Amino acid sequence: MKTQTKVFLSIVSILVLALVSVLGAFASPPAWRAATGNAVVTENDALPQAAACTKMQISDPALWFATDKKGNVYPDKIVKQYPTGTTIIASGFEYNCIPKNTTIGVVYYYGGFDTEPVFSDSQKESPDNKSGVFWWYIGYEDGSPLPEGDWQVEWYINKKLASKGEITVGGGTKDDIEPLETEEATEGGVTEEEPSDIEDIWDFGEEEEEPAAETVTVQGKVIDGKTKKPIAGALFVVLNPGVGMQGWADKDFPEEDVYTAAQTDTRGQFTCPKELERNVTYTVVVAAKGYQMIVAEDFMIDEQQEDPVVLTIKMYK
Amino acid sequence: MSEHPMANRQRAAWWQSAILAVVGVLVFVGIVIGLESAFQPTLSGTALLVVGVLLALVPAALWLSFFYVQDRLEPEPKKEVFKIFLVGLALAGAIGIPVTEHLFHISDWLYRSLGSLVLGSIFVVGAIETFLIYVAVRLFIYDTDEFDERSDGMVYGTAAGLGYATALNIQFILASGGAALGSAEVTIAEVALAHAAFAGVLGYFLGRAKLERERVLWLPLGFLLATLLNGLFAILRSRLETGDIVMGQVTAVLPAVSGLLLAGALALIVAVMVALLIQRDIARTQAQGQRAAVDAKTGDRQSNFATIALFVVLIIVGIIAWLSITGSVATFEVAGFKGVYPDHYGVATREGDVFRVADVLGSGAEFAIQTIELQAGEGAQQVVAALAVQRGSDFAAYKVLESKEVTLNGKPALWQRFAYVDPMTLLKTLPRVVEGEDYIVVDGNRAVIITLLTTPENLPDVEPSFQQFVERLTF
Repeated sequence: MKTQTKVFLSIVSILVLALVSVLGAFASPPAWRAATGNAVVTENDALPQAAACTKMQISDPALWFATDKKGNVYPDKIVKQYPTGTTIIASGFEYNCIPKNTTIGVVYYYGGFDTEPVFSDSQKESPDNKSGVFWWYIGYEDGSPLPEGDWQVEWYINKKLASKGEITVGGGTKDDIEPLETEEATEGGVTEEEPSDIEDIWDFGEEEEEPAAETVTVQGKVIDGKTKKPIAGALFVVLNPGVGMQGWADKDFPEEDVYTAAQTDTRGQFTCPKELERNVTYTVVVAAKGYQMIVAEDFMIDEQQEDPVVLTIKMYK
Repeated sequence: MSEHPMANRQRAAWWQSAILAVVGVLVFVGIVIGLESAFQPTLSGTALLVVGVLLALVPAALWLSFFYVQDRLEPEPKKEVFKIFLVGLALAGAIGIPVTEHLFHISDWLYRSLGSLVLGSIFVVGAIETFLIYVAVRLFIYDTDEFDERSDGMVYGTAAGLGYATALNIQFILASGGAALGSAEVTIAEVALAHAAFAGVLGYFLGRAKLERERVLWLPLGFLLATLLNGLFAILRSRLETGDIVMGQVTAVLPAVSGLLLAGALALIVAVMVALLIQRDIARTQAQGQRAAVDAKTGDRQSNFATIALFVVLIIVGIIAWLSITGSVATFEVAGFKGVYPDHYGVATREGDVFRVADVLGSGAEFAIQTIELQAGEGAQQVVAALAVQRGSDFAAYKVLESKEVTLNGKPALWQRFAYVDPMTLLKTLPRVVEGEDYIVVDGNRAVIITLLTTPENLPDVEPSFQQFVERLTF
């Protein structure tokens, strides 16, 4: 992820958090938590790759991605329904590229496009010539399950509606569901505004000081402890917080338990495609053919570590 | 019955040279590490290989030269000692290493679990190494008149052990394409000292077996002890050096020396213990006024057979362990498909799959079952075309390399081998060449596609498990 994007994400996250706290002061909880993300994926052939990026084309209808309680979004897993008890939903789209001066806006609705939006936000994106996937997840700040029923999303590119979509959370019907408490929250003044006006609220300057990043890029090098030679093709796997090696092995190594993973190149180097959160304990597994597997159950990046954090991993036969 | 008037002479040479060699090797390792960090030589390619191979010879050279200096006064045929060293080296290079690496594929499964580490270290590697060192001494010197002192077992055993270790070390250097000198020398010294120690134990038993009237099981006992010591050392060493993850850029990493210290301690303990044991044996036989003798005709031949029988038993256990560790399978039953897959694979079924397993932490190979609905009149060829379109759009350079009609569990099937380039954009690593195989079986109005995906270098290793997966699949 580019530094600019990271700065952006950090600022946006902090502003969203700030907004959420302001809203919390005005209205009763639950407050929202939300964040954006994007990834370059292989399955993007649906859209033509632009040589010079002038127009951003995005997939319509909008996509819905698998999520977990931690706010991890799996852009390679498209879902058609979220199960009962889902705490975070993530809509997104595939795009061909991001031209300069692109602002992406999102509006989430619950119970129909004609209802008041439950969440809306927008942010300016860094230009990018590569195609990829963009998403914006929402969930309650306190992690409680989202109400069951139909959720809608609208995506705006530079204030123009570009894509929309709908998804069901849980198996119940709308009638079974209690009135959505969060609609009160929207009366706080921000989220009820029309998407076209939202950008004015997010008037933050580019020169704003960079806050401490909450997530960290992890890269490193895997070497043979005896020869100091790089090990090619070694696998670096970070499991979701709370998942240990034994539990993962007992469940037959499901991919859902993997937070992120990377493989070393011929120089033994790797970079995790997804950033790790600071002060969160992960289980890290390093495996290479013919070497003893390394399992670190208490892998944590604290404030002292720089971003990106560079690991040196020694493996033995 | 032949007499051995020399048998009770106490020779200082072998154990003094043993201790000196251990200390000398440790000092040498320190010098190499010191020189490396002081001058940071930028050797590479052939030069690094040549230096590495020369370093691999150092421990044995040190021991042989200390032995030579110590032995000046009581000449032992150096030629014979050197010959046994070469025999040990040759047996390791011609039989030991090829059998463990290429027949048992030990490095593929040794570290899969603690159980596999224990079984593989003792019953495969330990048994084979000990047996070949035994063969080197037994066939090439034991029955000659040169083997006429109690300490000769230790001397020739150590020589064979060091020969074996030297072959392992040369292979280690060549396989790594030239290693960083300091840490490579640590490994070399560790392997040499450890093997000298195991072989020394075996040698003590061989010496007493020849020069005293021992029971039939004496020699097998020594063989078992040496094998266990070999295996336990390997287990302990890998528990000590499990690898580590260090945060932050590490520029100079001192090599891990715990394995070396363990080997050094083991070698010293064995040298001292065997020295004391031999002294005790001499004192005892002198006190009893016995003349050391051996009945080479009966008792010893039986104990030789007993040792060989013990090796056969150990290696059979090793083979059973190997086959059950690599061949153990898990069963599955999903959507009318029943079959087995390798036990260490994990289920990785994705959208669009009936079933998929992947060797997540190993080769990365995947076995998948998918089905496609067929329209009237469509057959395997349409499936081949559909796969080509799908893979051609998902990946680069998709190509079918080979295709033929086969029979799968009595059903006609189309088999094809293909390759493509996976851009690996999600993992942000270099594009990877994927090689795979499909079995396409037309089953009523659907086609069942059984696919293997792996890398070209892993294909030969993975293919047998995939064959088993395909052959035991029913639907």
